Amino acid sequence: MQRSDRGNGVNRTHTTRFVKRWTRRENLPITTETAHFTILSVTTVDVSGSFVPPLVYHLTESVIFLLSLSPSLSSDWILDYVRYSNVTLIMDVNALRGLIHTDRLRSSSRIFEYYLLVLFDVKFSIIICEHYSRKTASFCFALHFVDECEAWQNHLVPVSSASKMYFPLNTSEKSESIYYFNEIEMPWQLDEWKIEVTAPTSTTEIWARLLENEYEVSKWNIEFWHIE
Amino acid sequence: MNNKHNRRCGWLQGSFEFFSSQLSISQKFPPAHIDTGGIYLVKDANSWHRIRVDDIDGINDEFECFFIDRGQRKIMRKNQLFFCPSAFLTLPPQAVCFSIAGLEEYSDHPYASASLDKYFSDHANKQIVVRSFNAQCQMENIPAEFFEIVDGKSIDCADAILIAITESTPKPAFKENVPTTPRVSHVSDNGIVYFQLDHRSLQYVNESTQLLYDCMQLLTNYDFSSADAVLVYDDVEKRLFRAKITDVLPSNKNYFTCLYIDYGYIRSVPSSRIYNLKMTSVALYTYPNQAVPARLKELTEFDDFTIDRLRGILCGRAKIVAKPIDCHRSIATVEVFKREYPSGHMVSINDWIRMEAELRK
Repeated sequence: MQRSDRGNGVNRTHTTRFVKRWTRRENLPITTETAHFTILSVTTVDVSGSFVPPLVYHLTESVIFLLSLSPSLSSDWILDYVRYSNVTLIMDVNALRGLIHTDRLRSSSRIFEYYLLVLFDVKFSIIICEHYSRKTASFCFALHFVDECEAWQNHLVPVSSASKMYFPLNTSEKSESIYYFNEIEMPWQLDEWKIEVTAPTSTTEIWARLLENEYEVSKWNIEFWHIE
Repeated sequence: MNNKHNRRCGWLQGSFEFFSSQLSISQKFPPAHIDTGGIYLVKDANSWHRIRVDDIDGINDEFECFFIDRGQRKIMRKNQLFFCPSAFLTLPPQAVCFSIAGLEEYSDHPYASASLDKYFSDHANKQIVVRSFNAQCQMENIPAEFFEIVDGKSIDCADAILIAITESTPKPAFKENVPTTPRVSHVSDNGIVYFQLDHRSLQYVNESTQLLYDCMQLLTNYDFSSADAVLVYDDVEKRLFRAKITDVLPSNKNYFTCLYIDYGYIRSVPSSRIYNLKMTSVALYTYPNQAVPARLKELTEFDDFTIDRLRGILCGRAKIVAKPIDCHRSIATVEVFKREYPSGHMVSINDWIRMEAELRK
């Protein structure tokens, strides 16, 4: 994955052009009743934000795509993408909203803003474009991520052998440092949370650690980092 | 819940030995490539922390790092970053972000950060608890009430924090014989010069009023019941100013004479353009006036020519040095200097204006 030395490496000009291209299309309604969906065309944006011609695969089974998104794109845009590309998600719309909220929750980490995993059911085939080999690393990374992330596995159907054939894991190309964390589980069932304020930045940004019950365990974990 | 607990404990038991061995490896093998968004280890204050690289300054080889378990941000150098073993990526980031309910409008307050830092370090030994308003809140910063537990009783922290912020916000004033480099916003017709001493505060006030301008239709008109600070919309500059009503225009009862408290301008404003500041923003309402009036030393007589000369020399982007002479009166007395080029000498504006006036006589 190529990144610039400074910033997140997203080429906003290309991204904007990409958004405009989609928003010009006819407004197609989201089908909420269907459990599965059909992709008429698939467009991917790589990490650097440049526009890549449609990638469509000779697959009739479920497959996972990594949709790389610019941090500047809002969740509304994601919904628009789904709407205009005539894609119905396997997950229902509420699940998608939950997914986006999760993404929002993690927006402080900015990691989930770079990538959003979307599960598609592909029932349409066209030619694999010339960028296929370059995109392989990204797709491989997606698969690798799914293998490791327990939370996502609950939402995703097993990756078929056919899709693995098309997107083989290639550990030499995947990033060694970018990682997608599970969220800390908040004790919503409790009225009060004991905290330790660690970084009071402003009145709307008070960073703290939870000290209660099960969360104490997490704290101990952290304390290990203090031991040489 | 128990399963999760056990799972974490299981991870915990095996992690320590692994930790030691992996950490020594990471020390020997710094990451070959550093990505924005990547997770690494850093050693800071004799402790190891997990950080996320948020920005890379390729020119200076510096990295803006976010401590995912503490919420701090620091600039680190490349040789301080180490590879993070995958075993230490299973624990979710432990830092949780809260917002203090009721104090949201102080988020950009320039002195809030220092006040919060001091408050929470002073209360480091006290038990702090938070109460969130919404169950399963989906917001990035969870709005919550902060309480300090003292003798089993909960004391709301917001009031104490608000007092700390207000008390730590300095009222701009000259300090006797301490030269400053202020900006002059206005010279009044009677020769009072209005200085702006705190550039950061002025920027905050301007940005805050600009935000209010963007939602001006929501502002409430002032009811003229008290002599409070108000917001006025200036038709000439097309923006909002904080002001105080000083008089009613004798010729037209619908117009009021207003002193712009951050600039020193005195202008007539129609009542329809005067808004209630207290109801709009308590943070702005309580923020100190930014225009500091002062007299110029040994200048007592001001004709139109002198006032125009002073405005021409001092106002705008002129770089001046003000040396306060007498700060004990309600309006301070200052001597103003300006560097003249090409000689580079500092020239007293007070002497300059006085000599010009004498020559005119």
